Amino acid sequence: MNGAVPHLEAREVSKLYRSRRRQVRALERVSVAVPAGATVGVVGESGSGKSTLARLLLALDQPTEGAVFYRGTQVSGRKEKDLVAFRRRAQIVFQDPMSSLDPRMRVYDIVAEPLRALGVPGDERERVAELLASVELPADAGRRYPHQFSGGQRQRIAIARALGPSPEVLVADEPVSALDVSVRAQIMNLLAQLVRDFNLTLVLISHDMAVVRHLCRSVVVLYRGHVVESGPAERIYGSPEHPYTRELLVAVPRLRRERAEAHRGV
Amino acid sequence: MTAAPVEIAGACQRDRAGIRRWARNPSAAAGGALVGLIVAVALVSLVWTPYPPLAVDPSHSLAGPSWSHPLGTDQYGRDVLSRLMAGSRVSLYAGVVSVLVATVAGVPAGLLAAQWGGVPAQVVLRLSDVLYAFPALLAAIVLSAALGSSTTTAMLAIGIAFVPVLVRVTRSNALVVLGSDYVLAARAYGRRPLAILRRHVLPNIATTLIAQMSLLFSLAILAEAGLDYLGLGTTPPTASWGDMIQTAQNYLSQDPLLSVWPGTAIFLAVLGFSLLGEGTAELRNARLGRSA
Amino acid sequence: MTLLSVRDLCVSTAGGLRLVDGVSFEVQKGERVGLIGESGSGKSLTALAIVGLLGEGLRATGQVLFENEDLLAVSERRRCQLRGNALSMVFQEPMTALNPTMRVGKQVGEALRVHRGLSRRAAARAAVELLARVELPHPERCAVMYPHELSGGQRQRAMMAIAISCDPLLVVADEPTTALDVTVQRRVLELLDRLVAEEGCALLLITHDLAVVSEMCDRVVTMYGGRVVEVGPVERMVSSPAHPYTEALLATSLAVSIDAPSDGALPTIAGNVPAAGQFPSGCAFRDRCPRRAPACEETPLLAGDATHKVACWRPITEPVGSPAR
Repeated sequence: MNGAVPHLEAREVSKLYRSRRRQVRALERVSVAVPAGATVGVVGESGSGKSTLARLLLALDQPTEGAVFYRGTQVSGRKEKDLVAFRRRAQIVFQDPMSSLDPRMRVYDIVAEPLRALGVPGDERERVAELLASVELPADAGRRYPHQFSGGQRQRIAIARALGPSPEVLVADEPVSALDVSVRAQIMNLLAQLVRDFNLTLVLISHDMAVVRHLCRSVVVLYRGHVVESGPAERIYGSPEHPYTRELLVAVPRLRRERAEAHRGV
Repeated sequence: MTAAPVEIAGACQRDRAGIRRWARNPSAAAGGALVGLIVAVALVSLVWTPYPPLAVDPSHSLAGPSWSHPLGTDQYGRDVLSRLMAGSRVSLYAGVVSVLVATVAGVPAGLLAAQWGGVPAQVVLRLSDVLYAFPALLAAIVLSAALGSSTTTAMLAIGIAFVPVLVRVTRSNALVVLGSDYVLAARAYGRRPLAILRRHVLPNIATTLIAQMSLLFSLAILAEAGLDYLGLGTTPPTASWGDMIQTAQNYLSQDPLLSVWPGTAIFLAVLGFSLLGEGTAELRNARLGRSA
Repeated sequence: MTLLSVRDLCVSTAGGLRLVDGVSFEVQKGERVGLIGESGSGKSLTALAIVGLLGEGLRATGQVLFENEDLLAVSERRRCQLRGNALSMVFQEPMTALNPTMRVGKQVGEALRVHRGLSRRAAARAAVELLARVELPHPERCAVMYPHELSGGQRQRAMMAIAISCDPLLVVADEPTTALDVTVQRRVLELLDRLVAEEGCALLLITHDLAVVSEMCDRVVTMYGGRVVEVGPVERMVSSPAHPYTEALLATSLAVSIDAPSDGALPTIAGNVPAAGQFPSGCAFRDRCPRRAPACEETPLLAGDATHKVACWRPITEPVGSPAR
């Protein structure tokens, strides 16, 4: 770390959900610092608090304790009207391509809406066309409705929408989990390329360690609201220290190695 | 993982679109036809009826159906068909007023309760419970006493009685939309709550609301007829279906058909709006498939 | 001995859309067959058609011979006799597959009461034993709980207890671990493995995950576009598949696996999986196939020898690594 202010940072954030009968501690004093240009994977299973963390990082929810900072300025606990600049800089892509797009809106409007809401200057039509092209969707996609597209294509639309305001930070919450295997690779390639092309800082939330491995250079492992391990990806995957991390790595189903050897040449 | 049923929904959506789909749903089509018929009759009655609905002709009272009076005449010799046609205007007016009142009061309240939750929601819901518990009939009587008996006052009362229904339907559907990822995404790109309600919530709950309103419309027609029957709504001699039934009951032994015509008219109107409402709801569910 | 023989199974919607188009394969006694495919492949519908649980508006034609009895031709009554008994099913979503208003023990014992005529008390005892067999901690306590009080993995175990309660000959498991966390998935798969070995029953495992299939199954059936595109022993399918789709799936699975090198673009299959019923004429994979030829406008038939069949005009026959690929 060269001492530069991290793009996005959660400092000792906790999140407590209180219902009439009980309390759930979704996050317990979690600290994550995302430097500029980093690709950070947040790995965890259900109940780990990873999605809660994603929302807190984007100020879509408020931490019960602790604070979230963007480039050193606090964004948690602020009024919406003070967050407009932040919203332009940090965007999110969700897991379920079916529920993350308004079924009643045309794709053009879906992609254009952030531009309108955030007052992004420039020609809207041009920008939308540019965005659709950058996610490899045909230009006439704008006229159609989400239900006319496949899961992978809808995810591309969601990515195009997120890139509209030219964000610096992209948070992707399980972006490929709901997709077919053959499409997963396409979207992963797309994300990798967009991160390169637009110099994005990426925070990738996933339960799938293989996906994280491909897209992220550092990893944070969450278990039941706590950070159990974090560090560079090579170390985490090569010599994991925490028993939970090791359990996660061992649990992933593997194509039987001896078969896989034969295929390496392709 | 996308499972087969969702893909089927996608496949079915592609064979039909818009009006054609609507027309193929039996409930919506039948309901639409009936409603269309009644609206047409009401419009026509504005400019023409076979006889003036109020024209009295004692020499031909309680006549059965004939060429000059296809549905016969009532105790004052007034043409039943003409009164039936004019009565449709009253029923439609009744539906419009009550549903309008209920919508204007109920939908924003429901949206408010869904969006802000907490104390405002509790206030709205408890007020709505109070209205729900208050007998509509009593409200109609009170309002009539205060403002004078007329269709409008009666339907205001009915409209107020409908408010809790719309509050609940609006709120529960709005909550579903507000919980979706696309609304969360909208917040992530800076949409304020009111804009979200306007751009995302309303369009997505509109069809369900319309279905509900249609059902309420049918209930309003029934309620209006009932109130007329009790003498609380439309004042005679204005033609209204409920009033026609009320007077017909005195002549049941002499001219039973007299009550059948307005009764059938009410039946068809209620059926039409109910079917329309159900059909719209079915279409909405079909379009979303099981993924909804 | 052939336990299950599916012949030319087709599943269509009321409107005539073919979602499963002429599927044929066999499952031997005690064999583990993996049915692999993505969305729109028709694999779940095939499983539902075999067990006779297709939803409203879907019709199945063809033959499903279970111990030489055609399940599509017999009465619903006969199917009910078999379901939960000789033929059982494990579903994907444990929350919706279990009755939320019935205690777990009662549900587990239900099949025993229906098929073995056990009394309520005997079924309750047997249910606790079954819950212990599926490694649920404190089975007596679990038996009196409701489904929502258990975790996803525990519910899936309970469902497996129901599936094996009447000593089935065949267990059909439809994506049993897809909705579970990876660590839970590992344990549930191990459990399934053990149960199937103990019972000596056959397993038809439906999944999209080639790695899971390679760990659990003896033979693999690959489906695409409502049709079977390749059938063969698992060793063959994960080392040198003949169908371009299986090959592409394999390449992608290997590349996205945790042991693969993490740099460089991942191999992908061009295009998208068309929606159900929207597959192109001829070979369903033709628009996305790198080996596409004019011959592919004709629907290829499943052809090959007893152990391995492929439906392709230009199957991959050269060994891996050869330049001709």
